[in-house]
Amino acid sequence: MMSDLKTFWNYIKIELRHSYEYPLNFFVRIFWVCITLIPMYFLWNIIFSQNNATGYNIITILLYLAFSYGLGVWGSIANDIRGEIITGDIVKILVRNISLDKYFFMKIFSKLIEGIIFSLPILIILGFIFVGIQSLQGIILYFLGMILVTIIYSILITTSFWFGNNWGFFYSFGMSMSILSGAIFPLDLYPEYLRFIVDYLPFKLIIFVPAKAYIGEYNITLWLLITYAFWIALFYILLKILIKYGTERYEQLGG
Amino acid sequence: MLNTLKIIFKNELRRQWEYKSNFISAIIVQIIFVLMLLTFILVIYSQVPDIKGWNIYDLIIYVLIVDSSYMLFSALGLWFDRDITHGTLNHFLVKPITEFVFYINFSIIDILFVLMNIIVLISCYFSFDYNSTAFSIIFAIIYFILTWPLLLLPIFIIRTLAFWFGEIWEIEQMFRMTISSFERIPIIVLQRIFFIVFIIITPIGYLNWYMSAAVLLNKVTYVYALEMLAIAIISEIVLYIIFIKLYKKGLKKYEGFGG
Repeated sequence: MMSDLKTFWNYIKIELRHSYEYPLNFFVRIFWVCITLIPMYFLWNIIFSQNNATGYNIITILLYLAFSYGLGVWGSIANDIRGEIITGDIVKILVRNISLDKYFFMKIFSKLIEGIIFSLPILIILGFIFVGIQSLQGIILYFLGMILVTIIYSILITTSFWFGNNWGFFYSFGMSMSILSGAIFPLDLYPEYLRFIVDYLPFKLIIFVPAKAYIGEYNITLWLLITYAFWIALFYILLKILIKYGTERYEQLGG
Repeated sequence: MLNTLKIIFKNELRRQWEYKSNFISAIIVQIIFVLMLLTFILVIYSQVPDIKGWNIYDLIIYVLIVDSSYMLFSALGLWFDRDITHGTLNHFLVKPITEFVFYINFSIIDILFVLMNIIVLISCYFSFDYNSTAFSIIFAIIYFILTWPLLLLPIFIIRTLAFWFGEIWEIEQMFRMTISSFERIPIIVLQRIFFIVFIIITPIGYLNWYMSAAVLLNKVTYVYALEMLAIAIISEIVLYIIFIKLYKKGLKKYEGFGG
Protein backbone atom coordinates (compact mmCIF):
# COMPACT_ATOMS: atom_id res chain seq x y z
CA MET A 1 0.00 0.00 0.00
CA MET A 2 2.76 2.45 0.99
CA SER A 3 4.78 1.64 -2.13
CA ASP A 4 1.66 2.20 -4.27
CA LEU A 5 1.14 5.61 -2.67
CA LYS A 6 4.80 6.44 -3.27
CA THR A 7 4.50 5.47 -6.95
CA PHE A 8 1.29 7.50 -7.21
CA TRP A 9 3.01 10.52 -5.67
CA ASN A 10 5.87 10.13 -8.15
CA TYR A 11 3.41 10.16 -11.06
CA ILE A 12 1.83 13.34 -9.70
CA LYS A 13 5.26 14.95 -9.31
CA ILE A 14 6.19 14.09 -12.89
CA GLU A 15 2.94 15.58 -14.23
CA LEU A 16 3.35 18.72 -12.13
CA ARG A 17 6.94 19.12 -13.33
CA HIS A 18 5.57 18.88 -16.84
CA SER A 19 3.15 21.74 -16.19
CA TYR A 20 5.95 23.92 -14.79
CA GLU A 21 7.90 23.36 -18.01
CA TYR A 22 5.05 24.93 -19.98
CA PRO A 23 3.98 27.84 -17.75
CA LEU A 24 2.04 29.49 -20.60
CA ASN A 25 -0.44 26.61 -20.40
CA PHE A 26 -1.55 28.07 -17.08
CA PHE A 27 -2.49 31.34 -18.78
CA VAL A 28 -4.15 29.49 -21.65
CA ARG A 29 -6.42 27.60 -19.25
CA ILE A 30 -7.34 30.60 -17.14
CA PHE A 31 -7.79 32.68 -20.29
CA TRP A 32 -10.15 30.07 -21.73
CA VAL A 33 -12.35 30.05 -18.62
CA CYS A 34 -12.49 33.87 -18.51
CA ILE A 35 -13.07 34.43 -22.21
CA THR A 36 -15.85 31.83 -22.32
CA LEU A 37 -17.54 33.35 -19.29
CA ILE A 38 -17.81 36.84 -20.84
CA PRO A 39 -20.48 35.98 -23.48
CA MET A 40 -22.09 33.64 -20.94
CA TYR A 41 -22.47 36.54 -18.51
CA PHE A 42 -24.31 38.62 -21.09
CA LEU A 43 -26.34 35.69 -22.37
CA TRP A 44 -27.57 34.80 -18.87
CA ASN A 45 -28.32 38.43 -18.13
CA ILE A 46 -30.62 38.42 -21.15
CA ILE A 47 -32.21 35.15 -20.01
CA PHE A 48 -32.73 36.36 -16.42
CA SER A 49 -34.30 39.58 -17.70
CA GLN A 50 -37.02 37.48 -19.39
CA ASN A 51 -37.26 34.51 -17.02
CA ASN A 52 -36.53 34.64 -13.32
CA ALA A 53 -37.81 31.16 -12.54
CA THR A 54 -34.66 29.29 -13.54
CA GLY A 55 -33.59 28.71 -9.94
CA TYR A 56 -30.29 30.48 -10.56
CA ASN A 57 -29.05 34.04 -10.42
CA ILE A 58 -26.15 35.60 -12.30
CA ILE A 59 -23.65 34.82 -9.50
CA THR A 60 -24.64 31.17 -9.05
CA ILE A 61 -24.76 30.44 -12.79
CA LEU A 62 -21.33 32.01 -13.35
CA LEU A 63 -19.88 30.13 -10.39
CA TYR A 64 -21.39 26.91 -11.74
CA LEU A 65 -19.93 27.51 -15.20
CA ALA A 66 -16.53 28.58 -13.81
CA PHE A 67 -16.45 25.37 -11.77
CA SER A 68 -17.40 23.31 -14.80
CA TYR A 69 -15.02 25.01 -17.27
CA GLY A 70 -12.15 25.17 -14.78
CA LEU A 71 -12.35 21.58 -13.53
CA GLY A 72 -13.90 19.63 -16.43
CA VAL A 73 -10.50 18.70 -17.84
CA TRP A 74 -10.93 15.16 -19.08
CA GLY A 75 -10.50 16.14 -22.76
CA SER A 76 -7.32 14.30 -23.72
CA ILE A 77 -6.21 12.72 -20.47
CA ALA A 78 -6.21 9.12 -21.59
CA ASN A 79 -4.59 9.56 -25.01
CA ASP A 80 -1.08 8.60 -23.82
CA ILE A 81 -2.13 5.25 -22.36
CA ARG A 82 -4.38 4.45 -25.30
CA GLY A 83 -1.33 5.03 -27.48
CA GLU A 84 0.69 2.66 -25.30
CA ILE A 85 -1.74 -0.17 -26.03
CA ILE A 86 -1.73 0.53 -29.77
CA THR A 87 2.06 0.79 -30.04
CA GLY A 88 2.68 -2.14 -27.70
CA ASP A 89 4.49 -0.08 -25.05
CA ILE A 90 2.00 -1.32 -22.46
CA VAL A 91 3.98 -4.59 -22.46
CA LYS A 92 6.56 -2.80 -20.30
CA ILE A 93 3.89 -2.32 -17.64
CA LEU A 94 2.49 -5.85 -17.98
CA VAL A 95 5.85 -7.37 -17.05
CA ARG A 96 6.27 -5.07 -14.05
CA ASN A 97 5.04 -5.56 -10.51
CA ILE A 98 2.06 -3.23 -10.93
CA SER A 99 -1.47 -4.13 -11.97
CA LEU A 100 -2.91 -2.42 -15.03
CA ASP A 101 -5.85 -0.92 -13.15
CA LYS A 102 -3.47 0.74 -10.67
CA TYR A 103 -1.29 1.95 -13.54
CA PHE A 104 -4.28 3.43 -15.38
CA PHE A 105 -5.55 5.05 -12.20
CA MET A 106 -2.22 6.61 -11.25
CA LYS A 107 -1.51 7.92 -14.71
CA ILE A 108 -4.99 9.34 -15.42
CA PHE A 109 -5.55 10.77 -11.97
CA SER A 110 -2.15 12.49 -11.93
CA LYS A 111 -2.98 14.01 -15.33
CA LEU A 112 -6.27 15.27 -13.94
CA ILE A 113 -4.47 16.85 -11.01
CA GLU A 114 -2.04 18.52 -13.39
CA GLY A 115 -5.04 19.84 -15.34
CA ILE A 116 -6.67 21.49 -12.33
CA ILE A 117 -3.62 22.57 -10.34
CA PHE A 118 -3.99 26.23 -11.32
CA SER A 119 -7.75 26.61 -11.52
CA LEU A 120 -8.54 24.75 -8.28
CA PRO A 121 -7.05 27.36 -5.88
CA ILE A 122 -8.82 30.17 -7.76
CA LEU A 123 -12.14 28.32 -7.56
CA ILE A 124 -11.67 27.60 -3.85
CA ILE A 125 -11.11 31.33 -3.21
CA LEU A 126 -14.14 32.29 -5.35
CA GLY A 127 -16.23 29.71 -3.47
CA PHE A 128 -15.20 31.16 -0.13
CA ILE A 129 -15.99 34.72 -1.25
CA PHE A 130 -19.39 34.10 -2.84
CA VAL A 131 -20.74 30.99 -1.10
CA GLY A 132 -18.72 30.39 2.05
CA ILE A 133 -17.12 27.36 3.65
CA GLN A 134 -19.84 24.98 2.35
CA SER A 135 -18.45 25.40 -1.18
CA LEU A 136 -15.68 23.02 -0.09
CA GLN A 137 -18.26 20.23 -0.22
CA GLY A 138 -18.27 20.71 -3.97
CA ILE A 139 -14.50 20.27 -4.13
CA ILE A 140 -14.70 17.04 -2.09
CA LEU A 141 -17.44 15.67 -4.34
CA TYR A 142 -15.44 16.75 -7.38
CA PHE A 143 -12.57 14.49 -6.32
CA LEU A 144 -15.00 11.58 -5.88
CA GLY A 145 -16.29 12.39 -9.36
CA MET A 146 -12.75 12.36 -10.70
CA ILE A 147 -12.25 8.84 -9.32
CA LEU A 148 -15.31 7.90 -11.34
CA VAL A 149 -13.93 9.66 -14.46
CA THR A 150 -10.61 7.86 -14.01
CA ILE A 151 -12.28 4.45 -13.86
CA ILE A 152 -14.58 5.22 -16.81
CA TYR A 153 -11.61 6.32 -18.92
CA SER A 154 -9.67 3.22 -17.82
CA ILE A 155 -12.57 1.14 -19.15
CA LEU A 156 -12.44 3.06 -22.43
CA ILE A 157 -8.70 2.46 -22.64
CA THR A 158 -9.18 -1.29 -22.27
CA THR A 159 -11.45 -1.25 -25.34
CA SER A 160 -8.25 -0.55 -27.32
CA PHE A 161 -7.30 -4.18 -26.64
CA TRP A 162 -10.12 -5.13 -29.01
CA PHE A 163 -10.57 -2.17 -31.32
CA GLY A 164 -7.05 -0.74 -31.67
CA ASN A 165 -6.98 2.93 -32.61
CA ASN A 166 -10.46 4.04 -31.53
CA TRP A 167 -9.74 7.76 -31.16
CA GLY A 168 -13.17 8.70 -32.53
CA PHE A 169 -14.83 6.71 -29.77
CA PHE A 170 -12.73 8.54 -27.17
CA TYR A 171 -13.50 12.01 -28.48
CA SER A 172 -17.18 11.19 -28.89
CA PHE A 173 -17.33 9.85 -25.37
CA GLY A 174 -15.58 12.93 -23.98
CA MET A 175 -18.07 15.21 -25.74
CA SER A 176 -21.06 13.08 -24.71
CA MET A 177 -19.83 13.20 -21.14
CA SER A 178 -19.81 17.01 -21.34
CA ILE A 179 -23.51 16.92 -22.27
CA LEU A 180 -24.50 14.25 -19.75
CA SER A 181 -22.45 15.50 -16.79
CA GLY A 182 -23.78 19.05 -16.93
CA ALA A 183 -20.46 20.54 -18.02
CA ILE A 184 -22.18 22.72 -20.65
CA PHE A 185 -25.17 23.82 -18.57
CA PRO A 186 -26.69 22.75 -15.25
CA LEU A 187 -28.72 19.58 -15.82
CA ASP A 188 -31.76 21.00 -13.99
CA LEU A 189 -32.11 23.56 -16.79
CA TYR A 190 -32.38 20.84 -19.44
CA PRO A 191 -35.80 20.33 -21.02
CA GLU A 192 -37.88 17.65 -19.25
CA TYR A 193 -37.30 14.90 -21.85
CA LEU A 194 -33.51 15.35 -21.69
CA ARG A 195 -33.47 15.53 -17.91
CA PHE A 196 -35.27 12.20 -17.76
CA ILE A 197 -32.29 10.58 -19.52
CA VAL A 198 -29.48 12.24 -17.58
CA ASP A 199 -31.10 11.71 -14.17
CA TYR A 200 -30.58 7.96 -14.30
CA LEU A 201 -26.98 8.03 -15.50
CA PRO A 202 -23.90 8.30 -13.26
CA PHE A 203 -22.35 11.16 -15.24
CA LYS A 204 -24.17 13.84 -13.25
CA LEU A 205 -21.95 12.85 -10.31
CA ILE A 206 -18.92 14.16 -12.22
CA ILE A 207 -19.79 17.85 -12.63
CA PHE A 208 -23.45 18.64 -11.90
CA VAL A 209 -23.64 17.33 -8.32
CA PRO A 210 -20.23 18.72 -7.23
CA ALA A 211 -20.96 22.09 -8.90
CA LYS A 212 -24.36 22.33 -7.19
CA ALA A 213 -22.66 21.59 -3.86
CA TYR A 214 -20.03 24.20 -4.74
CA ILE A 215 -22.68 26.91 -5.19
CA GLY A 216 -24.26 25.85 -1.89
CA GLU A 217 -27.38 24.10 -3.23
CA TYR A 218 -26.49 20.49 -2.35
CA ASN A 219 -25.11 19.00 0.83
CA ILE A 220 -23.06 15.86 1.21
CA THR A 221 -25.37 13.16 2.57
CA LEU A 222 -24.79 9.52 3.36
CA TRP A 223 -27.06 8.56 0.47
CA LEU A 224 -25.00 10.67 -1.94
CA LEU A 225 -21.77 9.03 -0.77
CA ILE A 226 -23.38 5.58 -1.17
CA THR A 227 -24.40 6.55 -4.74
CA TYR A 228 -20.80 7.52 -5.54
CA ALA A 229 -19.48 4.33 -3.92
CA PHE A 230 -21.99 2.20 -5.86
CA TRP A 231 -21.03 3.58 -9.28
CA ILE A 232 -17.30 3.52 -8.50
CA ALA A 233 -17.52 -0.12 -7.36
CA LEU A 234 -19.66 -1.12 -10.36
CA PHE A 235 -17.32 0.44 -12.91
CA TYR A 236 -14.28 -0.91 -11.09
CA ILE A 237 -15.59 -4.48 -11.33
CA LEU A 238 -16.27 -3.94 -15.04
CA LEU A 239 -12.75 -2.60 -15.47
CA LYS A 240 -11.24 -5.64 -13.76
CA ILE A 241 -13.20 -7.98 -16.04
CA LEU A 242 -12.21 -6.07 -19.19
CA ILE A 243 -8.54 -5.98 -18.19
CA LYS A 244 -8.59 -9.74 -17.56
CA TYR A 245 -10.06 -10.58 -20.98
CA GLY A 246 -8.23 -7.78 -22.80
CA THR A 247 -4.75 -8.82 -21.66
CA GLU A 248 -5.57 -12.47 -22.40
CA ARG A 249 -6.17 -11.72 -26.07
CA TYR A 250 -3.46 -9.03 -26.41
CA GLU A 251 -0.44 -9.95 -28.53
CA GLN A 252 2.71 -7.85 -28.69
CA LEU A 253 6.48 -8.17 -28.77
CA GLY A 254 8.33 -7.33 -25.57
CA GLY A 255 9.92 -3.86 -25.35
CA MET B 1 1.12 24.83 -59.75
CA LEU B 2 -2.29 23.31 -60.51
CA ASN B 3 -0.60 20.03 -61.29
CA THR B 4 1.15 20.06 -57.90
CA LEU B 5 -2.13 20.78 -56.14
CA LYS B 6 -3.70 17.86 -58.01
CA ILE B 7 -0.91 15.53 -56.88
CA ILE B 8 -1.18 16.68 -53.24
CA PHE B 9 -4.95 16.17 -53.36
CA LYS B 10 -4.56 12.69 -54.87
CA ASN B 11 -2.02 11.71 -52.21
CA GLU B 12 -4.34 12.87 -49.45
CA LEU B 13 -7.17 10.86 -51.01
CA ARG B 14 -4.96 7.76 -51.12
CA ARG B 15 -3.81 8.32 -47.54
CA GLN B 16 -7.39 8.61 -46.28
CA TRP B 17 -8.40 5.50 -48.18
CA GLU B 18 -5.69 3.60 -46.26
CA TYR B 19 -7.21 4.75 -42.95
CA LYS B 20 -10.91 4.22 -43.58
CA SER B 21 -11.65 3.76 -39.88
CA ASN B 22 -10.41 7.32 -39.34
CA PHE B 23 -13.20 8.53 -41.58
CA ILE B 24 -15.87 6.61 -39.65
CA SER B 25 -14.45 7.94 -36.36
CA ALA B 26 -14.51 11.48 -37.72
CA ILE B 27 -18.18 11.11 -38.71
CA ILE B 28 -19.08 9.88 -35.21
CA VAL B 29 -17.19 12.77 -33.63
CA GLN B 30 -18.96 15.24 -35.91
CA ILE B 31 -22.40 13.83 -35.09
CA ILE B 32 -21.74 14.04 -31.35
CA PHE B 33 -20.41 17.57 -31.78
CA VAL B 34 -23.62 18.61 -33.53
CA LEU B 35 -25.64 16.94 -30.74
CA MET B 36 -23.64 18.94 -28.22
CA LEU B 37 -24.44 22.18 -30.03
CA LEU B 38 -28.10 21.21 -30.27
CA THR B 39 -28.22 20.51 -26.53
CA PHE B 40 -26.78 23.96 -25.90
CA ILE B 41 -29.42 25.58 -28.11
CA LEU B 42 -32.28 23.51 -26.66
CA VAL B 43 -31.32 24.41 -23.08
CA ILE B 44 -31.13 28.13 -23.90
CA TYR B 45 -34.46 28.19 -25.70
CA SER B 46 -36.22 26.11 -23.07
CA GLN B 47 -35.69 29.20 -20.85
CA VAL B 48 -36.50 32.06 -23.26
CA PRO B 49 -38.34 32.37 -26.60
CA ASP B 50 -35.67 34.56 -28.22
CA ILE B 51 -32.35 36.26 -27.59
CA LYS B 52 -32.13 39.79 -28.92
CA GLY B 53 -34.49 38.89 -31.78
CA TRP B 54 -32.89 35.53 -32.56
CA ASN B 55 -35.17 32.52 -32.13
CA ILE B 56 -34.16 28.85 -31.96
CA TYR B 57 -34.29 28.37 -35.77
CA ASP B 58 -32.16 31.45 -36.38
CA LEU B 59 -29.57 30.19 -33.93
CA ILE B 60 -29.44 26.76 -35.58
CA ILE B 61 -28.71 28.47 -38.92
CA TYR B 62 -26.09 30.65 -37.23
CA VAL B 63 -24.36 27.66 -35.62
CA LEU B 64 -24.29 25.79 -38.94
CA ILE B 65 -22.73 28.79 -40.68
CA VAL B 66 -20.06 29.04 -37.97
CA ASP B 67 -19.37 25.33 -38.21
CA SER B 68 -18.98 25.56 -42.01
CA SER B 69 -16.55 28.44 -41.57
CA TYR B 70 -14.44 26.42 -39.12
CA MET B 71 -14.52 23.29 -41.26
CA LEU B 72 -13.43 25.18 -44.32
CA PHE B 73 -10.50 26.45 -42.30
CA SER B 74 -9.56 22.93 -41.14
CA ALA B 75 -9.91 21.67 -44.70
CA LEU B 76 -7.72 24.25 -46.37
CA GLY B 77 -5.84 26.19 -43.68
CA LEU B 78 -2.12 26.78 -44.19
CA TRP B 79 0.14 24.96 -41.76
CA PHE B 80 3.68 26.20 -41.71
CA ASP B 81 4.51 27.08 -38.10
CA ARG B 82 5.57 23.50 -37.32
CA ASP B 83 7.96 23.53 -40.26
CA ILE B 84 9.43 26.79 -39.01
CA THR B 85 10.04 25.45 -35.50
CA HIS B 86 11.26 22.05 -36.73
CA GLY B 87 13.61 23.70 -39.24
CA THR B 88 12.08 21.85 -42.19
CA LEU B 89 10.57 24.81 -44.03
CA ASN B 90 13.46 24.86 -46.48
CA HIS B 91 12.19 21.55 -47.95
CA PHE B 92 9.51 23.68 -49.60
CA LEU B 93 11.56 26.82 -50.15
CA VAL B 94 13.88 25.08 -52.61
CA LYS B 95 10.96 23.95 -54.81
CA PRO B 96 10.42 25.83 -58.10
CA ILE B 97 6.85 26.88 -57.19
CA THR B 98 5.53 28.98 -54.31
CA GLU B 99 5.87 27.24 -50.95
CA PHE B 100 2.29 28.19 -49.98
CA VAL B 101 1.00 25.35 -52.17
CA PHE B 102 2.67 22.87 -49.82
CA TYR B 103 1.29 24.46 -46.67
CA ILE B 104 -2.33 23.82 -47.68
CA ASN B 105 -3.84 21.16 -45.46
CA PHE B 106 -6.22 19.54 -48.02
CA SER B 107 -8.02 17.38 -45.50
CA ILE B 108 -10.47 15.23 -47.47
CA ILE B 109 -12.46 14.43 -44.32
CA ASP B 110 -12.94 18.12 -43.54
CA ILE B 111 -13.83 18.91 -47.15
CA LEU B 112 -16.52 16.23 -46.97
CA PHE B 113 -17.76 17.66 -43.69
CA VAL B 114 -18.01 21.11 -45.23
CA LEU B 115 -20.20 19.63 -47.98
CA MET B 116 -22.31 17.72 -45.43
CA ASN B 117 -22.68 20.88 -43.36
CA ILE B 118 -23.81 22.86 -46.39
CA ILE B 119 -26.41 20.18 -47.20
CA VAL B 120 -27.71 20.25 -43.60
CA LEU B 121 -27.71 24.05 -43.67
CA ILE B 122 -29.74 24.15 -46.90
CA SER B 123 -32.20 21.51 -45.60
CA CYS B 124 -32.68 23.39 -42.30
CA TYR B 125 -33.03 26.71 -44.06
CA PHE B 126 -35.81 25.51 -46.37
CA SER B 127 -37.59 23.41 -43.75
CA PHE B 128 -37.68 26.41 -41.37
CA ASP B 129 -39.71 28.25 -43.97
CA TYR B 130 -37.84 31.52 -44.26
CA ASN B 131 -39.28 33.87 -46.84
CA SER B 132 -35.99 34.90 -48.41
CA THR B 133 -35.55 35.78 -52.05
CA ALA B 134 -33.02 34.01 -54.28
CA PHE B 135 -31.11 37.29 -54.31
CA SER B 136 -30.64 37.39 -50.54
CA ILE B 137 -29.50 33.73 -50.51
CA ILE B 138 -26.91 34.38 -53.24
CA PHE B 139 -25.87 37.61 -51.54
CA ALA B 140 -25.39 35.75 -48.22
CA ILE B 141 -23.23 33.09 -49.92
CA ILE B 142 -21.05 35.72 -51.62
CA TYR B 143 -20.88 37.64 -48.34
CA PHE B 144 -19.74 34.50 -46.49
CA ILE B 145 -17.03 33.70 -49.07
CA LEU B 146 -15.70 37.26 -49.25
CA THR B 147 -15.48 37.71 -45.48
CA TRP B 148 -14.22 34.21 -44.63
CA PRO B 149 -10.49 35.18 -44.92
CA LEU B 150 -11.02 37.11 -41.69
CA LEU B 151 -10.70 33.74 -39.98
CA LEU B 152 -7.60 32.70 -41.92
CA LEU B 153 -5.50 35.85 -41.93
CA PRO B 154 -5.20 36.54 -38.17
CA ILE B 155 -4.23 32.89 -37.62
CA PHE B 156 -1.64 33.10 -40.43
CA ILE B 157 -0.18 36.23 -38.84
CA ILE B 158 0.06 34.41 -35.50
CA ARG B 159 1.75 31.44 -37.17
CA THR B 160 4.26 33.75 -38.81
CA LEU B 161 5.35 34.79 -35.32
CA ALA B 162 6.94 31.32 -35.09
CA PHE B 163 9.89 32.80 -37.04
CA TRP B 164 10.73 34.91 -33.98
CA PHE B 165 9.26 33.08 -30.99
CA GLY B 166 9.39 29.39 -31.95
CA GLU B 167 6.37 27.61 -30.45
CA ILE B 168 3.32 29.85 -30.83
CA TRP B 169 0.73 27.17 -30.01
CA GLU B 170 -0.47 28.96 -26.89
CA ILE B 171 -1.01 32.27 -28.70
CA GLU B 172 -2.99 30.57 -31.46
CA GLN B 173 -4.99 28.68 -28.85
CA MET B 174 -5.87 31.91 -27.07
CA PHE B 175 -7.00 33.50 -30.31
CA ARG B 176 -9.07 30.45 -31.22
CA MET B 177 -10.63 30.42 -27.76
CA THR B 178 -11.60 34.06 -28.14
CA ILE B 179 -13.37 33.47 -31.43
CA SER B 180 -14.87 30.16 -30.32
CA SER B 181 -16.69 31.88 -27.46
CA PHE B 182 -19.04 33.16 -30.20
CA GLU B 183 -19.48 29.92 -32.07
CA ARG B 184 -22.74 29.20 -30.24
CA ILE B 185 -24.01 32.68 -29.44
CA PRO B 186 -24.05 35.65 -31.84
CA ILE B 187 -21.68 38.40 -30.74
CA ILE B 188 -24.62 40.82 -30.45
CA VAL B 189 -25.39 39.50 -26.95
CA LEU B 190 -22.46 41.60 -25.71
CA GLN B 191 -22.92 45.09 -24.37
CA ARG B 192 -21.50 47.97 -26.38
CA ILE B 193 -18.00 48.28 -24.91
CA PHE B 194 -17.31 44.50 -24.98
CA PHE B 195 -18.87 44.34 -28.42
CA ILE B 196 -16.40 46.89 -29.80
CA VAL B 197 -13.40 45.25 -28.08
CA PHE B 198 -14.31 41.81 -29.41
CA ILE B 199 -14.93 43.08 -32.95
CA ILE B 200 -11.44 44.61 -32.96
CA ILE B 201 -9.79 41.44 -31.60
CA THR B 202 -11.83 38.98 -33.65
CA PRO B 203 -13.64 40.61 -36.58
CA ILE B 204 -14.69 37.16 -37.85
CA GLY B 205 -17.35 36.87 -35.11
CA TYR B 206 -19.29 39.82 -36.43
CA LEU B 207 -18.29 40.42 -40.04
CA ASN B 208 -18.41 36.82 -41.20
CA TRP B 209 -20.46 34.66 -38.81
CA TYR B 210 -23.05 37.12 -37.58
CA MET B 211 -23.41 39.15 -40.76
CA SER B 212 -23.64 36.11 -43.10
CA ALA B 213 -26.42 34.69 -40.95
CA ALA B 214 -28.09 38.09 -40.59
CA VAL B 215 -28.06 38.65 -44.38
CA LEU B 216 -29.45 35.16 -45.00
CA LEU B 217 -32.19 35.63 -42.41
CA ASN B 218 -33.03 39.19 -43.54
CA LYS B 219 -32.11 40.70 -40.18
CA VAL B 220 -30.12 43.60 -41.64
CA THR B 221 -30.65 45.94 -44.57
CA TYR B 222 -28.62 45.52 -47.77
CA VAL B 223 -27.09 48.98 -47.30
CA TYR B 224 -25.78 48.06 -43.85
CA ALA B 225 -24.56 44.69 -45.17
CA LEU B 226 -22.64 46.42 -47.97
CA GLU B 227 -21.08 48.84 -45.50
CA MET B 228 -19.94 45.95 -43.34
CA LEU B 229 -18.69 44.10 -46.42
CA ALA B 230 -16.55 47.11 -47.34
CA ILE B 231 -15.10 47.20 -43.80
CA ALA B 232 -14.43 43.45 -43.99
CA ILE B 233 -12.59 43.74 -47.31
CA ILE B 234 -10.49 46.68 -46.11
CA SER B 235 -9.62 44.70 -42.95
CA GLU B 236 -8.65 41.72 -45.08
CA ILE B 237 -6.36 43.82 -47.28
CA VAL B 238 -4.66 45.30 -44.20
CA LEU B 239 -4.29 41.86 -42.58
CA TYR B 240 -2.96 40.40 -45.83
CA ILE B 241 -0.30 43.13 -46.13
CA ILE B 242 0.73 42.57 -42.49
CA PHE B 243 0.92 38.82 -43.08
CA ILE B 244 3.04 39.07 -46.25
CA LYS B 245 5.39 41.66 -44.72
CA LEU B 246 5.85 39.58 -41.56
CA TYR B 247 6.31 36.37 -43.55
CA LYS B 248 9.00 37.93 -45.77
CA LYS B 249 10.81 39.40 -42.76
CA GLY B 250 10.57 36.08 -40.99
CA LEU B 251 11.99 34.20 -43.96
CA LYS B 252 15.08 36.39 -43.88
CA LYS B 253 15.56 35.48 -40.23
CA TYR B 254 14.80 31.77 -40.70
CA GLU B 255 17.52 29.15 -40.30
CA GLY B 256 16.96 25.48 -41.07
CA PHE B 257 18.75 22.38 -42.25
CA GLY B 258 18.58 20.69 -45.63
CA GLY B 259 16.25 17.73 -46.11
